[in-house]
Amino acid sequence: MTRKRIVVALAGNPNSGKSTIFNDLTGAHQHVGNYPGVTVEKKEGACRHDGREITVVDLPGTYSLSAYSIEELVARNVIIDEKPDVVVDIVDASNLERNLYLAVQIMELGVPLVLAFNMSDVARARGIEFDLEKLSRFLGAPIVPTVGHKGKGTKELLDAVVAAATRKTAQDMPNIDYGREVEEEILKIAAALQTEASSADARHVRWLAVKLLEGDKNVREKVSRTVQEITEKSESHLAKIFGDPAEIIITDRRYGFISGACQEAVRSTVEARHTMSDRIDAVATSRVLGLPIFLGLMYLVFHLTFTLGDPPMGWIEKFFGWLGGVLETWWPKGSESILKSLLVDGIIGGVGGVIVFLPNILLLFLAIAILEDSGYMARAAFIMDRLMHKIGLHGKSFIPMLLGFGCSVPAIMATRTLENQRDRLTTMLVTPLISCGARLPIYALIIPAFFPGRLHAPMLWTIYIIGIVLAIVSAKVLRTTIFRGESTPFVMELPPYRIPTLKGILLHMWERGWLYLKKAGTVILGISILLWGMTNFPKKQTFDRDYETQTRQAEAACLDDVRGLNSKFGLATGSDILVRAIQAELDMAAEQKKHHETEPGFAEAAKRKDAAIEALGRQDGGDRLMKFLEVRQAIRDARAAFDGAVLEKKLVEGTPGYFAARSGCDAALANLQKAEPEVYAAAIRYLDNIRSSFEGAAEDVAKARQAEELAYTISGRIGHALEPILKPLGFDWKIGTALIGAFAAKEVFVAQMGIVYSVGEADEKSEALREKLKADYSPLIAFCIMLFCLTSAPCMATIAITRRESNSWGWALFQLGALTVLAYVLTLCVFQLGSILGIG
Amino acid sequence: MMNKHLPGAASTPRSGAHGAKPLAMVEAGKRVRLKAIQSGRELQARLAAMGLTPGIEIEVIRNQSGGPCIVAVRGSRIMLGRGMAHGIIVG
Ligand SMILES: Nc1nc2c(ncn2[C@@H]2O[C@H](COP(=O)(O)OP(=O)(O)O)[C@@H](O)[C@H]2O)c(=O)[nH]1
Ligand SMILES: [Mg+2]
Repeated sequence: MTRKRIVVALAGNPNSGKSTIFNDLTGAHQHVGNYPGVTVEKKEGACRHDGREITVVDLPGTYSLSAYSIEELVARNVIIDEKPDVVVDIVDASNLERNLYLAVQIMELGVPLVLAFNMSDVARARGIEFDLEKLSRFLGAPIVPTVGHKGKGTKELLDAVVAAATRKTAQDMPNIDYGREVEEEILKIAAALQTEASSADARHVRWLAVKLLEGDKNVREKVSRTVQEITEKSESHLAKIFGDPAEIIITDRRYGFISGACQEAVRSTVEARHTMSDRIDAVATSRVLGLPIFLGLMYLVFHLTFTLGDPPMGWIEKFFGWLGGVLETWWPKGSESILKSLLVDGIIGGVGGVIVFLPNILLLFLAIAILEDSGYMARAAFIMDRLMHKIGLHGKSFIPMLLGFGCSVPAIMATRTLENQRDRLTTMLVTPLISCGARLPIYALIIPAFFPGRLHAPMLWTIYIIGIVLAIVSAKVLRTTIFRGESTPFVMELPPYRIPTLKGILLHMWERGWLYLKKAGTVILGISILLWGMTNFPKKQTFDRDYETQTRQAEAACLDDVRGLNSKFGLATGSDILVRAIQAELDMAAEQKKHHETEPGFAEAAKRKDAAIEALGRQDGGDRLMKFLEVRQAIRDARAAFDGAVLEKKLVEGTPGYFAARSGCDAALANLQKAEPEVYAAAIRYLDNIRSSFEGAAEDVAKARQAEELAYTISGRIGHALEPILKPLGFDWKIGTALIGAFAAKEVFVAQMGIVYSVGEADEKSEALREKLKADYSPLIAFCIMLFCLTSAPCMATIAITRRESNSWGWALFQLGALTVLAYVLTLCVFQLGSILGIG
Repeated sequence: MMNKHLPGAASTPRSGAHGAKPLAMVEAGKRVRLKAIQSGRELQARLAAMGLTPGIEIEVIRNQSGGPCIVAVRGSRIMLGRGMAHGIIVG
């Protein structure tokens, strides 16, 4: 016989230890994806045993194989359509009766079956004894006791798998006797099926007949009208006899079969499975303490995720900063290389922006894995259900929404804990409305610019509350429209509390972290490059204004002012040595801009300047000039020493340390002033007026040039093109352009506004930017900006992750579209209403 | 073995006399027998798969007004939403 690959499918109830055994079997050789078209996670792995290659497919955890949930349907279709060589059912041996219900259904399918009696340690501790041989005969499948988290029984399980896969004759699988009346109907339906289908074997036909009687929609759709009619007749016949629908009777008989088998082959001292768990639950789910405990744990999760994650985030940021710096030295300084810009601004900026969240994400999933594996997650759902029920969701949806305050990306990934598709999509779609951390810089920029101090905190709260209310209302709306349907009934098992294993939670954490890196990373990389292109191209060649002349004019004005200093400290009014010295300095600065510090050109420029000044020093009035330069340097040094001390020792104004540093600096300056009052006055005037205003002017010119370049690029043009649409919201093209940047990542909004407004190095603390904003917009518009940023198009990382998690571009684009429309309509109403009422 | 009530009998208003009432009305700590599940086939099947079949004995572990309730059935703890607890008739 050919030694082909064995394909094994793992089935089992949720919490039976399926993941643990899957991880134990396959180790690191795993592949996680989604089943096509649905959000059900598909895990595959491989291992070797006895020289045989074995592929292990992890089926979703289910209680049954009916077609009532996607998970069950997926599990069933894999078994029927993909025909694995062996199905392994992981059974929680400490809760046998309920777990065997699934085993019996797989047995009825007639596929080669191996039962793993997992949690056999727990079962033994409870004093449960099994007659495995007898049970095995009842169920028509070999049974292997295992202890998942200790790896016990794995080898024997694989032995049984290989034996089952290589057995030549099909094993004699027992049938369940459904009782005379039901069996008669099964025979009738089977006969009808047999005449139609040509090749189906008897066992499969019987299975189909049972499924039809159970009212299985999926099977019913696939059979002919005649068979459907016969089934309906049988159903009403049985309903008349028993007074219950057929599926109730069938289920009942299955459990009857199981109890029969257990009565003969299982001896149990007492049912004590939950004593410890129940005791914990008496506190953890109690009316009084349940909520405080839950909130405390949630606070801890938050703390772990967003505080402990901070230092590694800093390291990653530094690393990418360093990497960008290194790459930059490959090109001459100030070069306009497109490749450099793409690498540094586009790729490193974009990818770095994603990877920087990795510590957060890993920590978050670590916390979630602990909560899940210990069994607490189910209790959290219990506690929050009462509140969440009011918006048409279940308790479980609360956790992702809470995480949304940190970042929407891990929050949307956390919706994986929701097994119901409608709940999951609803939660996924509304989560971006919860104001995430990246939106805070926008509020931090705008609120102080437009609102008086006493309104700062209330304003911020208002924005956050609006987000929460919008999320709640949207969830409710989604549940009554697109995701309508009887509010999915809430049924969930509370697994007994268990101490999670380190390996288990680390694997859980890594699995999800890796997915984030891999999939979201590739999509985000693509979009970053696209956005980079949009804000950089097309390049403007000829500018509307002559920025070079403007720079030169600013320089000339500066030198003019410098000439005015001559008479102030004893130089002849007509002397040009000071002007020439300053000119030499400016030339050096201009030259040095073209070189990295390590390049020879950098030092040469400095040398040239020094030589020029030395020559000037030998000229008439040279001693005065040297005095001026000396005093100026001394002032600079004293100020730098003070700034350095404040920065290094983190001195705060008002503290003794700060005062000491301040007075040290003041004393040094006073000494200088006493020695050379005239030169000192001239140097101060130079530093604080002439030089700084020149630098400001030069900066303004550079930023104006940047703004013109930006307006010319695609995103600038889109901003302009959007203006007519944005006008009714009170927004101009500048805001439009910044909003495009905000799509890349919300915090980019602030930087982009800085560029548009020609303000150097804009951040949320920028006073200059605030002044300009105040001049252009009213508080009403400011509020509208915040409202729009809160509600509108979630950032591209969110879209990418929604696409991944929902397994469809449709939902991702729907989210993008719907939230943008919502933002538009809402902002429009607020702005128009506000304008009419004359607010702002 | 199937001591099934007839459809008419189960839904008579006087069924209270036999103690038949929704699970939602049973206090915590009580042991009751499941009589019927008033819901669609889908839900009945789901509950059955989790061990909730007519005739089975269940213990109410927790039952707070307005929230979900927890029952013990066939050795496991099952949480049932409020709406569902109203549709499960026990006696
Ligand atoms: N005592 C005991 N615990 C186990 C065993 N197998 C798994 N577990 C634990 O049971 C919990 C749930 O296991 P998991 O594999 O996540 O269950 P799944 O829902 O079926 O995937 C984890 O905390 C495991 O460490 C076992 O054989 N004995
Ligand atoms: Mg699992």
